[in-house]
Amino acid sequence: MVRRVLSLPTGRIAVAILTVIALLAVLGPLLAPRDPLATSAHTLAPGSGAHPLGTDYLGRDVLSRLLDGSRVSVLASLEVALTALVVGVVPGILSVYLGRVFEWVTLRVVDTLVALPFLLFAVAVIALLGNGITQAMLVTGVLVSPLFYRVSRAATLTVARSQYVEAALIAGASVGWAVRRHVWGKVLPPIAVALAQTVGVGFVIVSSLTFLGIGVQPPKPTWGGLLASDLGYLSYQPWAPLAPALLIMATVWASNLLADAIRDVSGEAGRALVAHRKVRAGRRGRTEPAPAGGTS
Amino acid sequence: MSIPFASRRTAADPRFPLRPRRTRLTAVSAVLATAAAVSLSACGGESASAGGVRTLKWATSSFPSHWDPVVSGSGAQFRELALVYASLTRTDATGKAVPDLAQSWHYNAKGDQVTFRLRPGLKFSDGTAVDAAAVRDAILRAKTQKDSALFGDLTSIKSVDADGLDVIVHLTQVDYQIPQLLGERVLQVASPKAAANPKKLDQAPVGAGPFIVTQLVPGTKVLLKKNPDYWDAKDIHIDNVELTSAPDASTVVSGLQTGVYNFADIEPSQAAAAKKAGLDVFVQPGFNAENISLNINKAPFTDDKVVDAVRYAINRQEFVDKLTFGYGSATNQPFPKGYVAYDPESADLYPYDPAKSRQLLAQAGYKPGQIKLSLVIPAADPQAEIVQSQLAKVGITVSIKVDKNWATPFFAKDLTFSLYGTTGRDSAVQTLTAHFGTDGPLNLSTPYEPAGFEAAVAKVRQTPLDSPQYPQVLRAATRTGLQSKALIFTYSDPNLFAKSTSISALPKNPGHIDWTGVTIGR
Amino acid sequence: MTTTLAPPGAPARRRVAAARARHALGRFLAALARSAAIFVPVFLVATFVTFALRSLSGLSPARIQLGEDATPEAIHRVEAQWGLDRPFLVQYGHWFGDLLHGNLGASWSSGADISTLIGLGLGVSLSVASLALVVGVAAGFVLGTAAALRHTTWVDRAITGFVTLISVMPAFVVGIVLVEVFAVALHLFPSGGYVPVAQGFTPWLEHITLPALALSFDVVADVARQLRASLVAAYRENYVTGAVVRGLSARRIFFRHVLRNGLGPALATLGLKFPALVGASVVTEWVFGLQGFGRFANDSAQSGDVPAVQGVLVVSILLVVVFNLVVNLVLARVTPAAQRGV
Repeated sequence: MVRRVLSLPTGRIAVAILTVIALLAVLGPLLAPRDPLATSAHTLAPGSGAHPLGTDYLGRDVLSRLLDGSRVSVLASLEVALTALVVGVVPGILSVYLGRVFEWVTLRVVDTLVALPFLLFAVAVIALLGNGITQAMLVTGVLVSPLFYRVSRAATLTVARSQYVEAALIAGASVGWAVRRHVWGKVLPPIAVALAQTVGVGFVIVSSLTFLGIGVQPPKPTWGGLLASDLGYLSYQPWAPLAPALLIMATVWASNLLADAIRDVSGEAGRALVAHRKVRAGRRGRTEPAPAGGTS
Repeated sequence: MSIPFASRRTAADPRFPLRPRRTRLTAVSAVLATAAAVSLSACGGESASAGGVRTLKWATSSFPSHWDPVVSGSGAQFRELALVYASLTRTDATGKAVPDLAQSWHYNAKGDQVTFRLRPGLKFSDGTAVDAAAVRDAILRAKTQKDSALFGDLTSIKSVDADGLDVIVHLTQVDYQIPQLLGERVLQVASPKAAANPKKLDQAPVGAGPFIVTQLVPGTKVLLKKNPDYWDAKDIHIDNVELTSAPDASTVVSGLQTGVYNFADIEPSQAAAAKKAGLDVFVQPGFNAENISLNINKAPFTDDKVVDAVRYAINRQEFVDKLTFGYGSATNQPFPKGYVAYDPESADLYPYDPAKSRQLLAQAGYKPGQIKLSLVIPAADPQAEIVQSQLAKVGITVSIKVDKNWATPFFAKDLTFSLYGTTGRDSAVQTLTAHFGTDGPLNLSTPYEPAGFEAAVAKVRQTPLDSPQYPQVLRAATRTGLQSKALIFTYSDPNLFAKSTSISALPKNPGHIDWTGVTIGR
Repeated sequence: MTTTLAPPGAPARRRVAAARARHALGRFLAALARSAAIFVPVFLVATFVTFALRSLSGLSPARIQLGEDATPEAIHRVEAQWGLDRPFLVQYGHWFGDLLHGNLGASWSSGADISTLIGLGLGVSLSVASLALVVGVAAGFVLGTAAALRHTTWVDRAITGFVTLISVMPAFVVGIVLVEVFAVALHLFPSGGYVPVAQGFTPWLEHITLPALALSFDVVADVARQLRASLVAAYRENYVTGAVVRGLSARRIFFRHVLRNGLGPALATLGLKFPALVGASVVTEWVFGLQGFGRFANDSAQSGDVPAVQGVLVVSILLVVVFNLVVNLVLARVTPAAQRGV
């Protein structure tokens, strides 16, 4: 599937951007040219050789702070996505097989979760359970899990009712085997789409929380936090908020683009699309065949 | 070819009359169009003097959380409380005490008793008379109420007698500071009837000041209207006040620009933006001083060497350069240079010397990075980040903790390490005792007090304010107080305000915001 | 001899009409009951979780009122005052009972009645959210329809690109940009603050326009995308081909067939968007200095004022549940087939 996604131009762009961001998260603090916490006397300086993106209000290098801050944002969004995945997918698949009671209970729980405004809950949880981003992201993951539940349940339903699975079950195969062999393959693509979308959502939530100054203590840099403090010095550095804002937006855009690309290439329509593109590409590469000579 | 019956209510079927989609759409668009038309054509007055009503829209970063003056204390929020309450005295442009509720006062020959004569015929906004009994009750309440923030400042007052309009204050010692002391910061007089229930007073203030509260949303917004019974009502030219808790430093200036507010205190970093926006940016004279507060009753500050190490690690100039944008100055005393109590002899007590600091820490037996401190502050502040980086350079690790409820543990002396900024006091002695005194509210190390401080302060109290020795004696007290291991003063940040040009200039009473004579609109 | 159906007489017609009206009312009530039946357990569970947060948090009013190292006796005294020494379920029972009477308790920091405080803020937040929804639905509708009708042309691509752009901008980024451009640079709107409707319709509208715009971007993007997708799918259905063959005009096909069927998923999306809107208002109220519900939530949470936070969460749950109810009912009218499970 990865190859299919990469065959689309949108898929390539999305994967490229997300890979860069992921690398920033992993290597960022090492790549930073200077210590992100090191203050200096040159405050609010414009971009220069020593400080490509200038310095902030305490003379710290902006580029280094951006690189250092990528880790928090990326890790937090991954936390949200993975929590939502684990909390949502397993009950979603199982709800088809474990009987009506389980199904009814999980459906009602999901309805409840959807009703809770997650940013509000995240703020409340951080404040009440301790000022750490981790708790808030776990809670947000739980609140966003209905998406995974519904997606995996819908996919499982279509497969479970298909005849070859019924046949297998009649022939004596266990539910577990049926799930592993058939359901998983059908369920993965929509889950991948949901995962990509949730990463984007997680990013927005993390940025909002750090923008409000919640979850991370100063002077640890975060993209949302940098944006918030840049606002206080707009008259000195009017273009400063652009860098963190563009980074946030680019990541969210890339996640959504990836989700769309996965959706485009999955399923019957997806395979057809990829095949169609391959044929078109091949045809473009060859010269037009010479017209058949003469008629007889 | 048959048409599948999947479509809904086609026009051809008379049994199901159509509900046209179009009408709903047109209805919605009609509403939107009307709204747009109304908003574009109707004239809406945003000016503060619309319809002749003069409204002050004040955004403040120190919105009071308590409206009971005894609980609120002498901090910056007294300026907002001064809208509702009046006090015995107020200050003039030189900082001297002049009459407010009291029209005159005089000391006895010895100097240990002062009598204030109140203005006749004044009432609180709930109708209770402003008489000596009310003032006596206010003073006693400030001394004895359990959650009073002021009792440490009133140690000179032994008892108070009330006789009609005469308030007779008996002192424990000769103290000429009392008229300065009983001003807006310490004795905002609340109606005794309302003060009988202090918890209610806290959210529904009743005073004899220039304005009356009409609506109070705790912590957020308060609406006031002019008090016609205020003794100086003829000089108040403002009809309504909307006091709002300022949202965020960066949004205040755009609020001023677009008419949401017409008066606000601003950060020095916003001054340039405010000026560019055509607002009136001015510095209200004052005696601000920022400090780093240490609690020497808690480790690691129980060790004098550690305290000294921190003293030598502070580079005051960095604060001035990075935080004040040309408006501030460095100071190592509880007031800026030029104030009468500033002691030039003590100007260089602990100069910046990080090497010495590291040495002291090593002598105390600490390796670099071994000391870990938690700096608890009420809101994210670049000042804290500078302290953190300066201490990191000498091997002390500081982690910043933002706690919105910071005030409670700070004034309960539970914190080990914090920051504080004072806006000064009307009485220089009160500034000194507040910071250095045994029970000073700003002394995080209570009951610690530098040796000889009590005596030095007593000497100041005994010196009349107009005596030629006064400045000398005062500075000697400052010198003694600066021995305190509990406080390291860093810099002085000015009182910076921005106002709409439609508001006239404010009286330049140092540290105060007075609305006497201020007009709004052309 | 041919027989033809005689048209029903007037009294018969009236009887049929009456029966139909009763039938419609019955269906409506059934839909209402069904929605309520789903949301009551949702409300119960959500409020229980909200209440349990306090025990998990370990926070108490003593910390706010007394300071961190208050003596155990003092803490116990304050907590008893607030009724916090009783068993968990008893407290929950009391709290829930009060809740049903509209009493959300008293704030730990200011002692003021929480229902009043929230009520004061709700006016602001609901004005902004309603305008955001109206703008979002209207703009999303226009954009989605235009993109679907001009499917695969440059109009479609331009709109899709624009919608993608606005969907990745977090509400606070949008808010900041709007303030800088429309309020500060162009002086068209105030940059923040709020004026109640009672003090004038125009000032009220001026103050809530920018915050509503900031919140609406997310709604516009989702509605436009959903509507476009479902309209495009609806156009591919057989009955549309049939209608074209029967000679119906394009406008008729659109308004009476395609739109009806395409609107369903878009409306359903709205129901999911409302919680996000309530959450995002926390940030927009910060940017625009609005003293609304979201700001109150943020302030209470940051000062550890647990009853206020609980009150906020309960009210927001209520808002979302009511809103979903309304959306479900509208959906039932617009796409009855969805109710039948088709």
